[in-house]
Amino acid sequence: MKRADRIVSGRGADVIFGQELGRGGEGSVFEVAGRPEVVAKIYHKPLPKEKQDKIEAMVRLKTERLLRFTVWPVEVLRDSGRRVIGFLMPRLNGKEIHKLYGPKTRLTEFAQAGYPFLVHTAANLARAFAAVHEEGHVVGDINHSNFYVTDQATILMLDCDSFQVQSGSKRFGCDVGIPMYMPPELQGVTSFRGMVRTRNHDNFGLAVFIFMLLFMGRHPFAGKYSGQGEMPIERAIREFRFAYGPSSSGRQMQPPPGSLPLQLLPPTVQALFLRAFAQESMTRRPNAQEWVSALQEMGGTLVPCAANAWHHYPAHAASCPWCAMEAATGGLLFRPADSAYRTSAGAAQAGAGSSSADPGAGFHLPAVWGQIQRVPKPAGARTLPEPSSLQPQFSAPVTAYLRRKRWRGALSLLSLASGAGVWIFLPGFWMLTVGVLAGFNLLLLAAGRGRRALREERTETCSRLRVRWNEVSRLYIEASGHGAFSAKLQELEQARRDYLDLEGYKAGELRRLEGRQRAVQLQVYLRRQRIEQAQLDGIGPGRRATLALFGIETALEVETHRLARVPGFGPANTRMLLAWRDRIERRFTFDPVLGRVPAAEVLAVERAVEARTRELERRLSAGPGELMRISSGIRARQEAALREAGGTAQALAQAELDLKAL
Amino acid sequence: MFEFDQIPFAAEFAENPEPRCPCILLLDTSYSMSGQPIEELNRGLSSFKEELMTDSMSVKRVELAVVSFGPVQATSDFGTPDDFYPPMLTASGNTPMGAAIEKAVAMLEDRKNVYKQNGISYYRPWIFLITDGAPTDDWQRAASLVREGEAAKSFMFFAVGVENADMNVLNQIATRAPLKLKGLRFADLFSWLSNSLNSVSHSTPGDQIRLENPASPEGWALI
Repeated sequence: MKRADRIVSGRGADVIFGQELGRGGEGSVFEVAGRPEVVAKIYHKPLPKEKQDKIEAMVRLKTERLLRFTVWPVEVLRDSGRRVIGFLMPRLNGKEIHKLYGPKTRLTEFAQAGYPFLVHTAANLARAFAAVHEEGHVVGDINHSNFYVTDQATILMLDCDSFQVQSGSKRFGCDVGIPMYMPPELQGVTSFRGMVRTRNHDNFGLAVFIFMLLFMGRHPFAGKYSGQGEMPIERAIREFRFAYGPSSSGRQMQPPPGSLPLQLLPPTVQALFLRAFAQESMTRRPNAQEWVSALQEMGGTLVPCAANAWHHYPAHAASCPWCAMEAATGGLLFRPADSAYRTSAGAAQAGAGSSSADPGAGFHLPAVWGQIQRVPKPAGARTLPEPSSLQPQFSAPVTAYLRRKRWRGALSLLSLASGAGVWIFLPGFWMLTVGVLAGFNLLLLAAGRGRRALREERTETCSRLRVRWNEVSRLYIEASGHGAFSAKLQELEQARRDYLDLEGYKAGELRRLEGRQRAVQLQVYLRRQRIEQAQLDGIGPGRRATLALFGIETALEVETHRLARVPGFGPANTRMLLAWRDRIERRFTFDPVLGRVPAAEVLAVERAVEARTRELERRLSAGPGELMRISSGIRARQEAALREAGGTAQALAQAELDLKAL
Repeated sequence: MFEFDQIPFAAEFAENPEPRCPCILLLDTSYSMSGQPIEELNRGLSSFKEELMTDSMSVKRVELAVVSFGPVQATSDFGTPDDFYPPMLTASGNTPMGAAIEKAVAMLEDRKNVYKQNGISYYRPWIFLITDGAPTDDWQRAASLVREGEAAKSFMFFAVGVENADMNVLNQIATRAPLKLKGLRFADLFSWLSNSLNSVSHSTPGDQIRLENPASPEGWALI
């Protein structure tokens, strides 16, 4: 570095460098002692005359407006030989734009950015391009690291010394460019040296970046290609295969799954994208000013989502596209809704507050829980009437039998009386008496046989019905059971508790991660404690070498089961080594700074919490319907069982009455 | 109810639709690597992750997978550096290099299909083989897969030999000249690899990247 040299700024003052802030391919950026508002860029290699002149011209051409949007060179830096070796520029603040448009980094780097912030940033990016263009310059080298976004959604462009700069009639060129952001007419160009860059070229790159801001980091030319072979982005650009346009399928392109459909943007913005990327309009792409007004208008018409305060979307979409995309992919595009917003009336208010937002989209726990509680609990089992308490009538065969029995009684009385009469009055006709009595006996015999058959049949019926009755009573009790209902209700209650405790769940997961950090740190610590350097009386170099042979070289590997495999390593030595490890482990202290849980893992927890939230919401929302189905199912089965029980009881009572009579 | 590791591909691409540069590390964990070599390799792997993490574009675009052999197993499946947890490799078994290369080529094909399904652009993948021995299995098929892949530009295959590696066989497998690691300078090797992947991840898919020569006097390799 030329730090030792005397470096003089454009004002003629000596410049003393502070800390190096960054190092790139071309040069390094340093703090400047005593001037916190500027930094110095110093090139690694001596600059050609052309580049020196360019920097001098840029300093002359600086304007208030350029300095609002760019870190434009403000003073030339020269070495002792008056050669330009760098320049001073305003200090940069903010973060690279790709950290904003990529959802994964947005969640950690721009945690407070909702969709309005993205639209606003896009408009500011267009304003920055407008400023550069209206001063007569061209950005040229458009790439993801050259635009910085502040937490106010303002834009600062850097690497201005690579811009194409117009100084009167003299043009200083831009020699670089990243093909992914270059228009079709510049694809395949092997060198930009000497090439005139135009605003219309810039306007292509501007449209690509606005697209990435509005479409969650998706590149407009990265899509699903249905043709043969590979379709890298450069080729797609060269062949005008914009993946989202109405004619994209004709170009064998489809938007990637889970991406925002172009139709959900306001028609003016849609039209600008189509014009920026289509072949027919490649000579008249939308300029920065057109974008500024379209995006400003779009920003004013966004509506809030009922479920998540970070979700805003274009008013003419039927419902929140971010909710739908997050549900379809399982990814997080914005911060998840606060659980407070979810469980309190917040969601309901947001739903009511925005007339055009779909209020059905939001989940509102108190409302759903109210519905669940209103589902009627099925009635309990009543006591079934005991068959004996019924007042049955004889069955038809028994009634007939009893009628016959009465006749038989009268008949036998008659025969007995007539037998006795014959005996008394006609003693000589005793033979007749015998005949009458025999006939009577025969009659009785016949009648007795009918009764036995009937009795047997009724006894059998009776015991069959008794079994059936017991069975039916059991079925009825079973049908009336609330088992399924109570189980479902309990499950829903658990889901509700889980839902209310999402913050607790999250805290638990984070604690688990912290625990893991501790374990990892402990492992590293133990691995640093080498046995060969340890104070271990009685374990000489020979034994240590044997241990090393069995992979036991540090405290980490000192474990009972490992030591057991080492031949000739006795219990005393094992105890000593384990005690040594214990001592070391007790000395370990956790470094909370080193052991901070990485942002990506914290985000993974947030994602899991979001997934759990959605799952619980789904289960709770389905709760009232499922409970209702279970409840009415129980009622239907109960009624069927009751009908059957009633019939069986009646039949059983009758059979028992019959038996008594026989 | 759900697991952290069951997030479908759609989620990772919805949250991070940047083009991907897949890189498979094919690491020899045969018995001959035991002791210092495997330790240095493990250390190199964890510094590799750290170095990739320092570049905001590599974190989004580079995807690492590790296949160790023997036995052949995918120790880590493709993931961006923030999702990559350097495995603790232990040395045992023989050197089924042929099977390992075949597995890596198959994994790359699968991963490319996932990219295509999800409308994600990608750079030419890298296969990076590190071995200290000679294949103990049939490597002829693997060698022809490497030749085909290189010819079709469907991946780049780099081979690095450690200590007593059979450079002659490596020469027959790789179409690029295999490199011989100086000593056990795994740290320098991974530092070079992460720098190279960084430059790739700042370029456009399809670009030719000029890599720093690892075989320069201060580099980590010998040709």
